[in-house]
Amino acid sequence: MPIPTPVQTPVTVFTGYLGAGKTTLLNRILSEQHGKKYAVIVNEFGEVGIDNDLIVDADEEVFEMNNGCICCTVRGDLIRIIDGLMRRKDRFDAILVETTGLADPAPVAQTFFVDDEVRLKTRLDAIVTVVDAKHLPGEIERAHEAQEQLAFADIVILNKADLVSEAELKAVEARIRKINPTASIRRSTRCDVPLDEVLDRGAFDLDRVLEIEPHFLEEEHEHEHDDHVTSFSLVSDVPLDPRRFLPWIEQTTQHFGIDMLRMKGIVAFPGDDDRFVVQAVHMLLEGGHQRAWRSDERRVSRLVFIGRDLPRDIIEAGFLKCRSDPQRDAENSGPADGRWTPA
Amino acid sequence: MNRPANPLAPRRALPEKARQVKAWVRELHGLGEDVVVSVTELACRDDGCPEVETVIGIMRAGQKVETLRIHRSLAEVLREDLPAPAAKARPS
Repeated sequence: MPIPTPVQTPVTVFTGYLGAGKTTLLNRILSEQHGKKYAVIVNEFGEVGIDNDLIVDADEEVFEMNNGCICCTVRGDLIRIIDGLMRRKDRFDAILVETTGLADPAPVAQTFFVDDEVRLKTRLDAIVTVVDAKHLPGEIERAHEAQEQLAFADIVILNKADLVSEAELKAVEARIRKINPTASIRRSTRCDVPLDEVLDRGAFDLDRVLEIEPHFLEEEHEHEHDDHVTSFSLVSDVPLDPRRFLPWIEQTTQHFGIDMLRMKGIVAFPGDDDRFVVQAVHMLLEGGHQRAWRSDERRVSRLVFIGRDLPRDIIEAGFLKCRSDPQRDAENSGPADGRWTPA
Repeated sequence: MNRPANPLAPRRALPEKARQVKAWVRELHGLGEDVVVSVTELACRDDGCPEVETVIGIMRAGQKVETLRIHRSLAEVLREDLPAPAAKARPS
């Protein structure tokens, strides 16, 4: 008899500076008539609270599993709280985590990928970063934290859009895109965004990764800037050889993972009708086949790297070496390494 | 087409084994229900780290997380691999 798959409670993480509107967004989600029950993990009691939902206080306790390696650092308080939530008899439709304005999103995200029981019972749905349209440009200039919160975002809520002009909004959107070209940006006034644009996005689900950003393959993401956090995309019209690409992406993640905040990509392998997708948070790298390429879709491979001072030239040189070469592949065909045998 | 084993496939969770290891830790350390035990198989790709290790966090309320490390995969961890509780410091 097959073992039933346990229902994984989706977890949405809200980041953003103090005053950007995180609490407003949380209250908005909680107060809508959706008939759902949420567990909300907050930094301070008193600001959020609706009957029927559970509010839990977090203390931002960091658990370094490996002596300071950021890639092996999680949030002990979240493990503790989720353990408690999962022991309760009442069930929640989702867990919402509000972080402080200066919290590092990486340990929060990584918490949901490490402990097996946490992974079994919950799934990280998306990281939502709320920003103040008026003050964000100044915050980006002044604080690395503001850039890193944008870097980690799957969804950016560009709040207080009514306080700036259309030209200013376009400029701030362009600034966000420089740091994070894969996040979806939603303008809002008092966080008036539809809930389905924030919740149940499946941004970390390999089956849905990058579906949030439908123009990912068509857009160019080339930017010149001198931010602390930068992004760049690597593109190839030539399919990538999996025998080269898979070890290369593992090595690249291993080598540059500390400074690589997020990475996402879609890859075309020769003779393979399905898209291969990859994603990483620091060194936590996952990949797998997704849906088939559509007949009207160009089989272009594209990886987007978001990180701190990543050496684009080195990474790009390695990427280009992963392109398949029919002549070389013919010479190396057969069970050369026994790993990839196109039919 | 034939596809190779995917080295990037999400790690297969072993919740039953994790639960077993947590139960051993609780018994060995005499932990109450209020103490949370976390078990993680870590494949840190950082230089100097073992290829795979199992990291156990004992989370007592109001105290720093106590960390136990076993240089084996979670599937390989045996009860006798668990280090005995550190002797409590005697008042001088």
